[in-house]
Amino acid sequence: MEGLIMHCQLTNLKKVMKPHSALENISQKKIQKVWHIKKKIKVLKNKVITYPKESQNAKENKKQLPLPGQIVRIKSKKEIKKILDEYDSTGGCVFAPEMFQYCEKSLTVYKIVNQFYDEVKEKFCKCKNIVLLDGALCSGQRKMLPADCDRNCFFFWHISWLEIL
Amino acid sequence: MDNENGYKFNVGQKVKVKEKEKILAILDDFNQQDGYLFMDQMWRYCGKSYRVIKTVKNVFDEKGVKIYKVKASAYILKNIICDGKVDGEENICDHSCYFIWHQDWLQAE
Repeated sequence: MEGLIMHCQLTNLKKVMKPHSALENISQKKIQKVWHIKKKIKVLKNKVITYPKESQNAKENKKQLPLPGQIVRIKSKKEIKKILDEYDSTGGCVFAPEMFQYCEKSLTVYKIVNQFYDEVKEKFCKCKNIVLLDGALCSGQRKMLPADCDRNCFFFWHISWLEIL
Repeated sequence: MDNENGYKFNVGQKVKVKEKEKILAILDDFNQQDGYLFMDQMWRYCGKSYRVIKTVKNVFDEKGVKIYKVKASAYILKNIICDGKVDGEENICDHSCYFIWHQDWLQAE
């Protein structure tokens, strides 16, 4: 898998992007800076104000992997916050703020994620304990951005955030 | 007749993917148009009808943390998702991205 060259719409995505004007560049750079600062503040805040942790090794616990077609319940916000680290993630999988709307709801597993193209690392990566849920799609809304992203991506769910029904 | 900003189709509207020959005629040598890649697995949808669930106007660059407008009008169609078999059967990507369809690959039903 090392050195695997993916050629798909995701790896090609930069080619559909219109280059920024000088003004847009300045605005986007400001947004980037603010984003990085906000992220650092959030991590610090999470380190200082923490929910009582159920288990520091939640990500290590052996959990049954739900299968495609199975119905799962997304745990409550409180339960999930107990197992997120200071980066709002579990096992490297980030819990995005928009995902909280699905808490305590039941959804069907669409797919198990074993490997995927990571566009930040720009390479094919393996992962474990991650599933996609039917209908749980990113709306692309981010407060700090001047426009919404229209890519309609599936959220990645760590199985410790879910309960099999 | 185009809507505002050059988008012909609306969310909820049913559209037909053009026939293979018509799409091939407008792709470049790299199977692209305005940067949109027409992947091999997309050919199976030619001649069939699907509902528009999103107009694609902006895409987020995760690595650069920047939002960009797209070069040309495009859409996302209901339930048409990449199966990840980009490199044959051996290395399957499970990202499950919705395909993005260039406006010129579609026609009103």
